[in-house]
Amino acid sequence: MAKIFLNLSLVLALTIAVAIGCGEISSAPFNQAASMGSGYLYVSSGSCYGGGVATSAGPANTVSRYDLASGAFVGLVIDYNQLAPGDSPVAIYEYDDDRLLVLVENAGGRRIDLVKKDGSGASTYIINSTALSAVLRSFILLSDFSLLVSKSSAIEKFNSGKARVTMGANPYVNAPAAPCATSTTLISSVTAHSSGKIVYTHAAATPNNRFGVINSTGYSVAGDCLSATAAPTTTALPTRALFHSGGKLLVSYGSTTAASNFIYSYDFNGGTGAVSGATPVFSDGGTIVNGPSSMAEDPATGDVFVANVTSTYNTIERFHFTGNVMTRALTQPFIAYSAQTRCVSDMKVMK
Amino acid sequence: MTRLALILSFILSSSMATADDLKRGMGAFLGVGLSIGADQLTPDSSSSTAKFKSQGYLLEVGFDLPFSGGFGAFVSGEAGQSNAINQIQSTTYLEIGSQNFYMAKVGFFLGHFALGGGYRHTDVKVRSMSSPGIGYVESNYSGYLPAGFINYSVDINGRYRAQAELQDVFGTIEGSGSTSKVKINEITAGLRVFFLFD
Repeated sequence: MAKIFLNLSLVLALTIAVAIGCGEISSAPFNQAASMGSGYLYVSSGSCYGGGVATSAGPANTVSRYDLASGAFVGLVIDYNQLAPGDSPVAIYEYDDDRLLVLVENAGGRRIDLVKKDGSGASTYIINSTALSAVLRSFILLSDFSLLVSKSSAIEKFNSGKARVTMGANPYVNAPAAPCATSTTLISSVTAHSSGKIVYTHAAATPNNRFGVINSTGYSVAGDCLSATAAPTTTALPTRALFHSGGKLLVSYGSTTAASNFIYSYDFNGGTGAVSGATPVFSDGGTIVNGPSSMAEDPATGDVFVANVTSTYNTIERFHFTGNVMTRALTQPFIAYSAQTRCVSDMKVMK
Repeated sequence: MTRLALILSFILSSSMATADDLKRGMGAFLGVGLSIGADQLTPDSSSSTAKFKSQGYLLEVGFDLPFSGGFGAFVSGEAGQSNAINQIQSTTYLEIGSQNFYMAKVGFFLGHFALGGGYRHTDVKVRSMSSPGIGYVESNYSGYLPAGFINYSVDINGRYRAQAELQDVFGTIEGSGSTSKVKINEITAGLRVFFLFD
């Protein structure tokens, strides 16, 4: 009997040692979306533009975040209704692991805020009434911590010291000549290629519905406009440009004409700024994409999120983007209509 | 592999040497058990594997059918629950998992040693929390998985049985309400105590 019990104990001990005790401990997060590696989809609801479509009155004026895998609402980051009257977050950008920048449109006090991601507080980052003198729409934080800001009629730049950078007495990009002209009405978005070249979208009636490429050093002479590309149709208004990690330049177009709501991809030459290879990567006659105001990429998967701000939508869709084709990831919106998705002005995937 | 081979040869030699010491009679058995385990979960949306350590408890009921010479077969059913924690090294991220399962088993015994397989229904829930963040993200999966097991038993006075069992559950189950899937490989080692009924 003692021998049997000894055998049993030894078997159990060895079994545990082999089955449980062996192997390295290193483990990956099960839910990549919830881990610090992949982060959340941050969504700002503020004054939005979807290509001239009718949008819902009264945006939420909040920045909130959603689970990247399921689209579940996680929480509010900041509610601008609690701050100055008229504040509306129109763009967001990641500043560091703990904070994000928020472009705040308010005719009585346009500014850029630095906001804690956990919602614990916010501070003013830039106030400059001379530079931020018109309706703010979009911005990008460059790798040297300088900022490019669209104020509809021009693009302003602030250096890493938050000082305004001008071209003589003019904004950094102001009224570029042909082929970029005319681009002084509604610069709906601004972004930059890794080469530093600036890409902006301009939403005005044909023939000025286009996107243009400006030299990384700004616009001072005609030659600084490197290229301009007209919208695929006269009724399509470009709302957002996004450089995808796969190398393509994606541009979303919105319109009151249903068939002119689509997303195109382009080949971008980082050396010359030339654009070619226009391809409709998603076009379904305005059924799924309608009034696209913003696009964001999940760098972990390459998926692209698209926000629809047409008043009967207010949804966020998720697309797979492979082989230069965008396919809807789900059979329903990734994030359905809610108070925080009413009139989405911007989205970003951040930690 | 070498260690596993040593264990198996030890088990087999023990079984052969003591086949006459343990002759299971025909009858039912009912018992409870505790286990610890190592779980590897790989969601289909990721190429990375999350490794959990678990502990759990179970209830098992079954019936022995001896043939001759200490050799026989048995069938049983077990149900239980386990809790697990991701072994990821992080000060800002935590994942805990829980599992409810029930399983049908069939096997063959020779002396103290038994070997068999089963089919298990499992419900897996994983909660992920990260800082700075609020709340948690919950993932739910459910499905059927095949299993294999090996155990070593000791009967005491024909009334009680002590058993050490190593079990491996593996396969893919689907997310609840979604098309996501997760590949699971779970190895548990447990100690069980049974009442025997002739």
